[in-house]
Order: sequence, then structure tokens, then C-alpha cells
Amino acid sequence: MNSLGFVETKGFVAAVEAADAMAKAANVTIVGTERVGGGLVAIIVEGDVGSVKAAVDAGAASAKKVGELVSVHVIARPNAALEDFFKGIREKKK
Amino acid sequence: MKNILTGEDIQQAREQGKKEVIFDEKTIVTDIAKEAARRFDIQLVKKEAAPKTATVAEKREPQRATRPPSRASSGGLSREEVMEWKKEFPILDSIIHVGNCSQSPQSKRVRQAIEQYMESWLSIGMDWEYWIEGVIEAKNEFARLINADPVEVAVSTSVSEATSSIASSINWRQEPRKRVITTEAEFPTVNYVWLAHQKYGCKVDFIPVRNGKLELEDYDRLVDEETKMVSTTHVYYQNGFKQDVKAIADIVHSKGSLLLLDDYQSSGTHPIDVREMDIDLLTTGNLKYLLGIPGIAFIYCKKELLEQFKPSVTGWFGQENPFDFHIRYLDYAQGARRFETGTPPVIAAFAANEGMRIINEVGPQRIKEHIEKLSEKALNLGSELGLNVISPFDVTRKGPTTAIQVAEDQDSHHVEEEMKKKNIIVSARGEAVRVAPHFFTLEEEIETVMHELARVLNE
Repeated sequence: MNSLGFVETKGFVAAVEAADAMAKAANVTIVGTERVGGGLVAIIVEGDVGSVKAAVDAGAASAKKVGELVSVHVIARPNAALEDFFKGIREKKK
Repeated sequence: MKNILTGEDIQQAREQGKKEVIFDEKTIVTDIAKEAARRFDIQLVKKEAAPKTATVAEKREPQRATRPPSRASSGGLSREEVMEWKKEFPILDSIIHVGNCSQSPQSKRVRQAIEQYMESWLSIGMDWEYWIEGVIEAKNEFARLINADPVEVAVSTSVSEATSSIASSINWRQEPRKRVITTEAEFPTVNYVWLAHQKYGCKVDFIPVRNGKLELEDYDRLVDEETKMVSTTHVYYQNGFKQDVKAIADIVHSKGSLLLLDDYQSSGTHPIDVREMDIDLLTTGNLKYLLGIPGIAFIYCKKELLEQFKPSVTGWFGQENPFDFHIRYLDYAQGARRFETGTPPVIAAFAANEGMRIINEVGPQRIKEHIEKLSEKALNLGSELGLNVISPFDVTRKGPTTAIQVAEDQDSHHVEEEMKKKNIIVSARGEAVRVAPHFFTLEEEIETVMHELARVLNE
């Protein structure tokens, strides 16, 4: 399984800005977005670990400029069990 | 909110000629930021965490509480009166009880009232006439407490149920005013009720808490011609901040809206005159400063407004004649009883009635003055001892609660338990420990409480 990167923002606009920056900054795929509730939106990307780190960094920097950045995280080597966890998100994206 | 340091932040630091970037323990530093710092030879310096203990006397300037300079009356109860009243509460022989914001101590008279009900149940078996009379007497006593007409008073089982009855009595789909303004200082149950009614078409907005207070300007800004109801607390349960109800009522009414006041956090500690304060609806319960037990609450509704409220949280006691046993139509009671639901909480009503009698006997105005004196003592001493007092220092803008915030690594409930070992009942809530005295509390007891609290927080 590829590395995973997460950027969580408060508000949709900051999330879109982050997603755009992440996709432009590195060779990553946007797995999906999750609306966590209370205005929180998480953008999830996957790719090789270097790309994901660069994408998360760029996404965070961009989100901060237009809205509220809540959290960032990179899972370099996700456990295989997470595959099932993200299956639903991938399907939702389709 | 976490601060997040990115590569771009390091780049900016470099452009500004900085040699180090300081961040605190809550900051997330991305790997790219760390890499950039290494590349540009910029030191990433983690700032030391703030002191963990709540007592930082050497750094905090002591504040002084303020009270109105001229006072028309005696300033509360004399020491002799307090000592006499203490005899009414057996637990006060061995315990300092300043957890009244959660549950007041048991009085002999309240216990006796409960026993009267138990005795009637035991010996007579079924005595509905006497039991319901007890409920009516409790409603009358409550009406006396807030200067209302008994017809304007309904009995309920909790403020959650009472608020639900009120919220459900507005036809939100047809009502042209859709907004309800509530506050971030509400006891959460009230907001849950309003939020749950959004599915029927009402829209909920919140007045923010700023520095532990609610500002009148925010009422003025947020309440508008679309607002049906402003649902607000008299006193903030976290830190005891007390609002100017009359000033809020003026704003609310100038916009053609209604004021619903939750007085649970302070009923029994100050005079409430619903007419003078121009309150449209009021809810409260009895287990705190009204000396009762859980299971009972009251609703007040201004007589002229009653007709418009048709609750869907209802039941047979909300009907004009519950004993008609009609089944095909609703016939809401003429008075505030229309907010009632099922069989009333009889045993809790017996307790509530006697508790409120005690409060009316001592006198809410005198209780208020006594508590202001105790507040002043608690605030000043807390400040002198370096405790993190988060209550307002103007005692006129404060209810009975004085709240002390504990340090990040401390658990307020653990502090409550430790204080209990010292025979002191305080009340933990979130990150604060609340000291909430009543008319039976002596000034020297407040001194003992604050000193012991400082000791526990420093252990």
C-alpha cells in the first residue's frame, strides 16, 4: 500500500485550495475528501512517501492562506488493514 | 487550534534573515519544514511548556474583586443567622459544602416533606388528591419566588424536558421568524433541544463567549427581525458569569423577539422578578440552590403569550381537563399548565416545595448579598494564592460560582475527590473546579476551602 497523507481544514474552501496545491506539488493521487462534521474537511492523498510529504506540506501552506488549517499527517507505511478502511472512500469518489 | 509549520514558513524565515524559528509543543512541524531548516541552517527551537501547576502566584498580578460601594441593606445574613440555619442541614456538622452548583445538601425540612409523601403512600396507599395538592403548592411557591401568577407556572421533570416542551410548541414550518439565538454559555442540554428542532425548520445561531462573558453588543448584532426566540442562561455554568437580563430583554423585545431565560445555575441565590425583568419564558430546576432533589423543574410563561404555544411534547396533564379522557382532539390547558406532560413528579414536588419555602423564608435579596460577600472573599483569596480564577471579579456580574481552572496536567475530578477527603465538597466541571457557596456558608469556610484547594492543586 502507498503512503497516505492527510490535510484537515475547517471549511470547504481551504480544503479545495489544499487539494489543488497537493495535486500540483507532487505525484500523488487524491483518494478522496471526508466531511468530518462541524465544518471540518479532510483531504486524503496517496503516493510514494516523498511525494506525499511534499504534497501535505504544500497543501498545508496553501490552506493556511485562505482559511483555517486544522491538522496534517503522513502515514509512510500504512498497515494493510487500512485498505478496507479507505475502500468506502474510494467507492464514494467513483 | 494547532499551529502547523511548513516548508514555506521556513522559506519565509530565511528571507527575513532569521536564524531560528521558535515553536511550541502543540505545533506540528512537517518533514519538509525540517528538511528546509536543515538546508538553510535554521534552528528549530521548541519553546518550553508553560508551568504545569495552577499556582503561579509569582507571575500573576493579584486581582481585587469589586462590589457596589453603597449598599442599602445589611449585606446578607449575620454569623448568628448562618449558624442557626446550619442546624437545618445535618451534613454541615462535618462537611463544608460548596458544591451547591451541582447539588445542595439535604435539609431536615426537605427530608420531612419527602417522608410525608412516603408515609401517605405507606399508610393510605393511594392519595392522589393530597399528592397533586403537593404539586400545586410547589407551583405556588415557585410563583412566589419569581413574582409570577401561579397560572403562569408549569411543572416539568427537568430543564431538558421543559425546553423541549417550549421548542416543540412553535410551528416552525409556518412560523415566519425561523431563527433561535442561543449562546455558547448555555448548559449544553438547552442547545441540544434547539439543534434537534432544526429538522422542523428553525435555524440556530450562537452568541459567542468572549473572555468568559457574553456581550450585549453581540445580542444587538445577532438578534434581528427573523429571530423568534432568544434562549439564554442567566449565569454561565462554567465560571459563574451573570448576565444583565433586563438589558437583554430590552434588546430582544426591540426586535420583536421573545426571551427564554434558563435560571437553573442561580435560582435561589438572587431575587427574580419576571415582571420587572420583562422575561417572557423562564425555566429552572430545584436540585441546586433551591435545596430540592432531581426530577423536577418549572416553566414560567408570561400570561399574554400563552395562547400562541401549542406543545407537541405534551401529555394528559397539559390538557384543560386531564380527567375528561377524550381521545380524538387536543384541548390545551388555558394556563402555563399546557406545557405539562404526564403524571407530575410528586415526590420531587414535595421536596421542591419545602426547599423553596426555605429560600423564600431566608429571602433571595439577603441571600444574594451574602453570596456577594462570599464571592468577594473567594475571588480575592483565590487571586492572592495565585490560583487561576476564571470568574468575573465584579461580583455584581457573577453568580455564586467561583471557578478555578486547573493546570493542563491536572484532572478537575481528581481535585474534587481529593477535596472530599478533606471533608470539602466542591464541584468539578471540565477544566475547572467550582466553589459554590450558599446562605449557610461562613466566610471562614471560604478561607478554608481556598487554602485547601491551593494545597491540593500544588501537590
